[in-house]
Amino acid sequence: MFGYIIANKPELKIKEYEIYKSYYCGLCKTLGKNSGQIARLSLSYDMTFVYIVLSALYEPKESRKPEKCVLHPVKKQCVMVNSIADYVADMSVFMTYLKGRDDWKDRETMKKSIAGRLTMDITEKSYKQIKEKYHNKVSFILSRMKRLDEGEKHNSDIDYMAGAFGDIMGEVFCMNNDIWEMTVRKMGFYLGKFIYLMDAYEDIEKDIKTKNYNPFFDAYRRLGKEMFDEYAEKILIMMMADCTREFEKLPIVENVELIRNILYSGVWTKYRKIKGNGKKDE
Amino acid sequence: MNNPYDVLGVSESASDDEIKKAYRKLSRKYHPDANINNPNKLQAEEKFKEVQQAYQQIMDIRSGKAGSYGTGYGNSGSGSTNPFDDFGFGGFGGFNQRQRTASNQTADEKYLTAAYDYIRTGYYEQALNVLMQVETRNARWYFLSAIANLNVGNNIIAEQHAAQAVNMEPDNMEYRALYSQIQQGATRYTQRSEPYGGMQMSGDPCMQCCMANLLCNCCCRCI
Repeated sequence: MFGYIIANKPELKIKEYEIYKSYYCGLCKTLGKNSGQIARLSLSYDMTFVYIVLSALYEPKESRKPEKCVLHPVKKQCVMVNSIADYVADMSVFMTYLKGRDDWKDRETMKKSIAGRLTMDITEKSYKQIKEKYHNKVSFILSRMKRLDEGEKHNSDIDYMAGAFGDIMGEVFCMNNDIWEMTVRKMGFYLGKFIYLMDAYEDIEKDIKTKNYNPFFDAYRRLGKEMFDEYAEKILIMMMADCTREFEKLPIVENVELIRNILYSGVWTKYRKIKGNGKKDE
Repeated sequence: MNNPYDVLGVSESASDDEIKKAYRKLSRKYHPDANINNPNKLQAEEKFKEVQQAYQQIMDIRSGKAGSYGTGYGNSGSGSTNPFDDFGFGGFGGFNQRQRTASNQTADEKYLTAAYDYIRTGYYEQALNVLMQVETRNARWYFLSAIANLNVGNNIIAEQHAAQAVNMEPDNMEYRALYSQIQQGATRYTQRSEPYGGMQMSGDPCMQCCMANLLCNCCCRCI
């Protein structure tokens, strides 16, 4: 999807990396099984993360075995599948459809627009089925997408906009309405805000040039580049601080170090690259 | 009510991770799915709920949300369905009531009192609505706005307003405490990220390990 919720690979133990891959492959396999081979295009590390966290929270019966894969014809890949994969696969397709629709409507670049349209067409049939299956969830998420659209027109404040996307992620994380719902929702909420703001931070200079909406526009203009960078970093850290505060309330024991690698370090991978490119001497 | 620590079979000084492991051990044992063929499955289900609630209670106590084993002072009342109730007045001791009778209060003061009451009972959206009515935004306004915003997830605005409250009344310990709590969250996160590679470009790995040992007090992965 956005590609920020990934692991800091060099810091992972090899067994943690193998487990990470097995969830990724498990999600891929489930996407193919439930929504057709082409739905595998919805596969993302972001949703793999959701899969890992929910699996760690609910500890469903799992099957983990080596399988052959079209993309890896030589060596068998270990594939982790459980009942949660079905839910996450559905959410993946749904979010992919929405993102495609968003890109298509934005008309930012020709290439992105067409890719968006294609994505929509590919996932449309599954999208309709998912819409029926998760009626309330889908309505809620669509209402927040609408908030994002309207908010851009009215230049709504940054908490409102990031919060709308946060609400969407919170809803995606909430598989069950149970004792963990509030905490899981909050964790997803702040993670969603982080993703939205990181995306905006990455695009700020480009958006200023092309006069596209960016929630950081006011701050950038007010603070100037250097102070803005400091301000943005402070805000991004605040999002992850709040996200991890919620995460640490959950009784997660399985794969907890892998999840912590992602939340405490991996999410900054792209940011590290952006800063690395931007700065001439460090 | 049973002591939640006893329910999980841990001591009160157990670490968060130890609490989680204790929960897992018991929840795997008493989970309904694991007791389908158990003749005592109703008791198992009761125990399962008890274990879950004990865990929640301990986490609430530890995050400062609840005082002792009951509901904390100043935290959400029964009306609150808001999921963001983490920043009530539990950590802020008393409220320095300005001793004016209700009839002598200005409109602004009445709004601030109403906002405070809403916050105390967990009605944060209403608190924000009332705060919008206030004409003159003093330090107290920014303080209350920060808390209300924090509790609905508007942490960016909240941090700005908390800072503004301190700017306007630097000697007010309550305002400083709130601002400090927000900063501490960020500091704790940054420290905790060190053993996982941290946020910045990774330098010399040996140096990083040493730094992590120095900074992190719960370093579980460093040798």
